[in-house]
Amino acid sequence: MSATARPNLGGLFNGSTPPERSSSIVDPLGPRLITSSPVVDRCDDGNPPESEVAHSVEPEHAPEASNPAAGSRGSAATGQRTTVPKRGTPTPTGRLTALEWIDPVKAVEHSFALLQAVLDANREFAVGWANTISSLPRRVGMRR
Amino acid sequence: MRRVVAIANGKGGVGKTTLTAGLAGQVAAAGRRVLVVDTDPQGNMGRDLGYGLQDGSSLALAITHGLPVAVSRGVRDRLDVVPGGPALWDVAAAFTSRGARGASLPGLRPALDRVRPEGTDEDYDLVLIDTPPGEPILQELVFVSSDYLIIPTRSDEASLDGLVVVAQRFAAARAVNPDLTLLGAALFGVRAGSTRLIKRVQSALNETLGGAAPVFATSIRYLESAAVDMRSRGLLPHELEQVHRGDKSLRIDRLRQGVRVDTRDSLLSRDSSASRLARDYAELAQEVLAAIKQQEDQARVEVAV
Repeated sequence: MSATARPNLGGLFNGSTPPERSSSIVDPLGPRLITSSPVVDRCDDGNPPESEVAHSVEPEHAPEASNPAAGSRGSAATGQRTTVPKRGTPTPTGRLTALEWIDPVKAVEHSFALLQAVLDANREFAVGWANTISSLPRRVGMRR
Repeated sequence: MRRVVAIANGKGGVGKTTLTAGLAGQVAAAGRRVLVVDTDPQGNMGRDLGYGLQDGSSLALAITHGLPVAVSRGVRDRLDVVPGGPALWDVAAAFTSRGARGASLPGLRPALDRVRPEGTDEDYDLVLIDTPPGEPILQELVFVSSDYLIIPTRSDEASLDGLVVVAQRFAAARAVNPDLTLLGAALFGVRAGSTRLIKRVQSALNETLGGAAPVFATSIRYLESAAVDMRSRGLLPHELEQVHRGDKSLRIDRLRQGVRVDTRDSLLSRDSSASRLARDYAELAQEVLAAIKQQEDQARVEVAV
């Protein structure tokens, strides 16, 4: 992922922002789904929750432009000025970070993988020799 | 007490099914009772858990007609499965058709509530529901039937678009199920050792989620050879690790016996890779269970206040 502006979806997940369209499985005229929990009567003041009010006035399929992600990405195309730097724009800080970065974990993992491969090969070699020696006739095996 | 957790993203190929199977296997191996529900018409859970492909008609009829759902018992110790399959495509059509007539459908939750483990009076500890990416009705059906949501995602921009889609469906489903809570996001399929990339993507995900839920610290590494080994043999990550141990012993025994080892059927992955992958899943499972406990503790405090 690059350092472009991100849509903030926190409101949709914590309930402070209503969705752009209502649920596909709840009909405006009544619930299509039999649920154990009631659809309404959740607000203490007796009013329907904000999200359901929004459902009744918003179209079933909101236009793409209302998508916060689409909006942020489309700003350049519409000619609006934005403070978000373009993707891939080289910056002195970025160059410095790229030069300085060394991933020690990868090097250590490679080192251990190589060591493990050598140990595996050594063990198989030893087992092979043991097998060869033990398969020789007894007289040859005992000769010094 | 059962906790129903949906695994969803609006984009396909982000590891939903593999993650669901891996988490379920880890939690079941840790001694908890787990039910996996596959609501994906592709039914790929059968490959991950090794029970084969099914048609999903039982689950489809349970959702649309309220019939009892068939359960594949003992897929692993303490792990049962409600299989999915192509018949689940009919659910969306049934909702559209009956909705036009103003009729109601039973939905998923009543069907799942009737499913109980065999041989015990206790309930499942965890119900994990795998969801299809491109089918809004099925995904929202799962959301209105779940307590929690986990969003797996990859590191690319398209996965971010999937987050936007799932956020809209999540918010819409809360009109029916106000208790639905985002548990967190899990980074899936990142190259091993990409520490810098992982930190950057986790930062971007945190920004996108806006503090509504954490991004799990454990990410699942990408290992093509291990993925092929697991799906071709119906093995979970910790089982692949065990097979590797057995495979090595078998190879040594065959060498001792002078039997030539046939490499055509051997595992593609390395044993060290399988171990690291299994450890990823174990750590993520611990994080998920800790997050559930934190949510439950927080709910208790709110009730007490």
